[in-house]
Amino acid sequence: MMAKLKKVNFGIVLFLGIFLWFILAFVIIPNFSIIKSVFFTADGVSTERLKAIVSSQRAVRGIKNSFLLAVTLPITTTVIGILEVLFLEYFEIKGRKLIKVAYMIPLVFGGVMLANGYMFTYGSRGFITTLLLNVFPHMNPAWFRGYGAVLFLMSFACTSTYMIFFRNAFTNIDYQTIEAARGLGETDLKILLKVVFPTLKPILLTCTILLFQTGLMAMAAPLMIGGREFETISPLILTFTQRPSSRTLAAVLSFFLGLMQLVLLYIIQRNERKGNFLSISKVKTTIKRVKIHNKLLNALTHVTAYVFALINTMPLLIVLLFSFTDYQTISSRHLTFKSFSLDNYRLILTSDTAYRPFVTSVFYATAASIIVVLMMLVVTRFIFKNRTKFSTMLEMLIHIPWVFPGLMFALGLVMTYSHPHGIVFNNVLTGSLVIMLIAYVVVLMPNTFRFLKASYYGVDQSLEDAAKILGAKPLYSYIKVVLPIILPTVLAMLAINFNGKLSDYDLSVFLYNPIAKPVGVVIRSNSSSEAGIEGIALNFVYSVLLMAINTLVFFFVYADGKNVLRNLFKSRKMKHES
Amino acid sequence: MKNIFKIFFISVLFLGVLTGCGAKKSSQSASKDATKNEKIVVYSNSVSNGRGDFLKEESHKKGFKLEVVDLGGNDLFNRLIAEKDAPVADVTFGMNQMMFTTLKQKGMLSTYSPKWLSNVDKNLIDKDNKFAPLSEQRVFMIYNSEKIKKDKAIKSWKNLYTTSNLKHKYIVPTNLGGATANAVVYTQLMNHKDKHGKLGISNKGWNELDKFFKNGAILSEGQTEVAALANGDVDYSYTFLSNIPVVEQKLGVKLGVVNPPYGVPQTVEQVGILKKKHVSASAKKFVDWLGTAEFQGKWAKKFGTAPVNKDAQSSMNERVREVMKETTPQKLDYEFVNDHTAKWAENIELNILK
Repeated sequence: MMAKLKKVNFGIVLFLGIFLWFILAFVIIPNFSIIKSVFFTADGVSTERLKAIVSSQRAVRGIKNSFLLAVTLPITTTVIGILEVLFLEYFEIKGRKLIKVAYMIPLVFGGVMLANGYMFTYGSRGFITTLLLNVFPHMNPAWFRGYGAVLFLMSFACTSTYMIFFRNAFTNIDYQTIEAARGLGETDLKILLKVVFPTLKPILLTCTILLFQTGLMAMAAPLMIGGREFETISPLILTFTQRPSSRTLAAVLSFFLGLMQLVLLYIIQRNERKGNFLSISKVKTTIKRVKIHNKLLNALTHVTAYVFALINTMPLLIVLLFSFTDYQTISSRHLTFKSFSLDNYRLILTSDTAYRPFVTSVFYATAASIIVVLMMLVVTRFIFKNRTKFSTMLEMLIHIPWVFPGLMFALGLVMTYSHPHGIVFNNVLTGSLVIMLIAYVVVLMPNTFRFLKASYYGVDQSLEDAAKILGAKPLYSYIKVVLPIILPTVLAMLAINFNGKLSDYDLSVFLYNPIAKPVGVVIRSNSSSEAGIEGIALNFVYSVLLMAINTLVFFFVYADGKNVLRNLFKSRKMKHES
Repeated sequence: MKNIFKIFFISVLFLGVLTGCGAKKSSQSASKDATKNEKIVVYSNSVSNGRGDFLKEESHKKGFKLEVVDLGGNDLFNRLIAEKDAPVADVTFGMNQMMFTTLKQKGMLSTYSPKWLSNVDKNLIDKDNKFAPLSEQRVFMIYNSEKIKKDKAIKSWKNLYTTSNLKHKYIVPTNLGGATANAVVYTQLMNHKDKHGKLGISNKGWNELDKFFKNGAILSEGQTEVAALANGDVDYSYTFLSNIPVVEQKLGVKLGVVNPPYGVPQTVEQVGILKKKHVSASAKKFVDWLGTAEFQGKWAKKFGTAPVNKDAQSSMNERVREVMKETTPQKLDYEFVNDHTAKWAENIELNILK
């Protein structure tokens, strides 16, 4: 027994040692040094800054609004997300393939451009608003504003986690349990509530945390369509971080965010300890979609499914449309046949300064996403298998990047490593090529960790035991038995991490090396009014191209695109031969 | 199963490439000091919209190798300060004299007086020669001169919020990140200087500014200050000097410019060399070339700047010359502005932008 333990531990101890060094050097020290520089001035702790925040109506309202969004967003998104998954996987809906594509849109279309798309659809000169104004000439053209508008946009935009993880878990449910319940005469609703959802608890919890966090940190949507009526905290933090003398304010505000997250995390962790249900079909019986017999209900379901699809599709189409127009058209929104041209695309694809950022970003995003997934696979496994104080502490450490906003962390990193530091063997990292990669890896850790952990819950322990009894070594049984089960999550995580960091701005702006400028920085500098007016038109093209890259990644990594293509090719060849 | 190996393979590959890059980088910086014609890293907020490519082309003809980093004014400033202990940039240009003064106070600039300095108005030159002036910039209110006649136009910033039919018909800054937005604020605040007031400004001054922001309209994202004016959303907006010829042509509008009795803020964009262990000779040569009448003239003609090099001023865009004649520089204590501007911006963001 002793010998066996030692054998297992040697590799993992080495790995954990390196991992702890990584956390210490790139998570704890940078964040600590920025806090120190901000709070502890020469005259001691500054409380006057805290007063400045509390006495500012704007800041207090920002905190309230962020909290409101963080609490309501998980509810609305969960409802929409679950409904979408049910439309795709549980109920029989006509035109399922088409609505599936529509529901996948949030996976590749996000951030500033998504908000732009919604603005161009529902905003005061938007497509829908113009239509509505024809019917109701007296309505307020700026109706799509404030809390309601932000919540609407984000509820649909944030369904991506449901489309991937929840859907994946849902399709893996043991269908026999549903059949059994139905045999006992239960209604569809009761089956969902009593049989299906309880087994999906880990993934639901993870989605909830993620959505709470997304709501809390929301940036683009409140900034663009929230307006002055609904200001949240993140844009404020961004503004304050950018001015050296106001960074204390940013730090104070970040602490409010961090505090809310820690409370949530604590609640969730306690909940997780209470245990989870497990229902993975050992004898694979796939879910059969049910037809809704009640005609009215059936019609209602269909209409809802189609409306959801339409809401997801329209902003994307509009962005696509405007990417072919010039600046005047974008600012006036008057589309004529003359306004279309390929000039924007030509400008970007032929200038070498324009496409180089794409190459850089693809490289960094790929590297970061692979490194973080590999690292977290091991760490998560360790924590999952060893429930000790040490592993709880490790789990807490991994979540640190959640508590500090990216901008702040980036600043800490630059300042700490702008001179030789012992912890990194007296290297200067500021201005080097690796520093941005390190930052990407660090901020991707918490989410990757959560999803991988949730996916380990889906692995049936008895399968692993069986492998062990049959004489398989731990590593072998892990690769042969465990990994294939969690592979969909691993692949999805790779794709999501890649797409998330492809157009990153917050971290990159302080960290990138001049010879490797990422695309997110280019986009942001295009959109400032200092940059002149063509930038806005170019940004539409940049976003369309980014979306194309994102879609490709999902197609190949997650949707098994290679095989789809091969099959397509094969069947064509066969036709040709016959 | 195959997939797993694929992932491992790809990751090993990437890590390999990555360490390769790291190694290359360090050897590059090591050889940097040795070679004569080394690469010059230039940080600037004035190289967007094709200006950077033009700069590279023109400098390449003279044998310079540039790495141009394009950043917004505020990002640029912050990045320079963050890299204080290990500067990446050799040269930076485009920020105004106030931002450069801060860099100087932090001891980040090296002393150099470029050869063309004798062609520049002496009052504009930094007495310590830590940075040197390139071009003038002014910030002012604008209106669509086809819609509003010059004699009907308002006369000062105060008229915006005291004229009742202009309520929500003029653009106010959404945030105070940019140099232009800051100029809009200090040009108004500096009329209410008061030693005993909050942050050096009288209560009346703050109340007026509050009214200015409350009665204005904010820009929706994806819109610029001038476009909102051009498409008729608002009657008044603001912009900076070198933007005038560019937007008039692009948006097909003719802009009118408001010159208040106290004038308009005028800042001067500067160039400076960063202090490093080894300041390269080619960085100095580059600065010597950047401010020449030859290059500043071309630059002015193409991008509408107002160069301070007297020999380059003949190449100035006609429209820019006109606007310069129409406006008078406001007499401002820029040292005072520079000392207070961060605190003012913070106060506005916390207590006025509600």
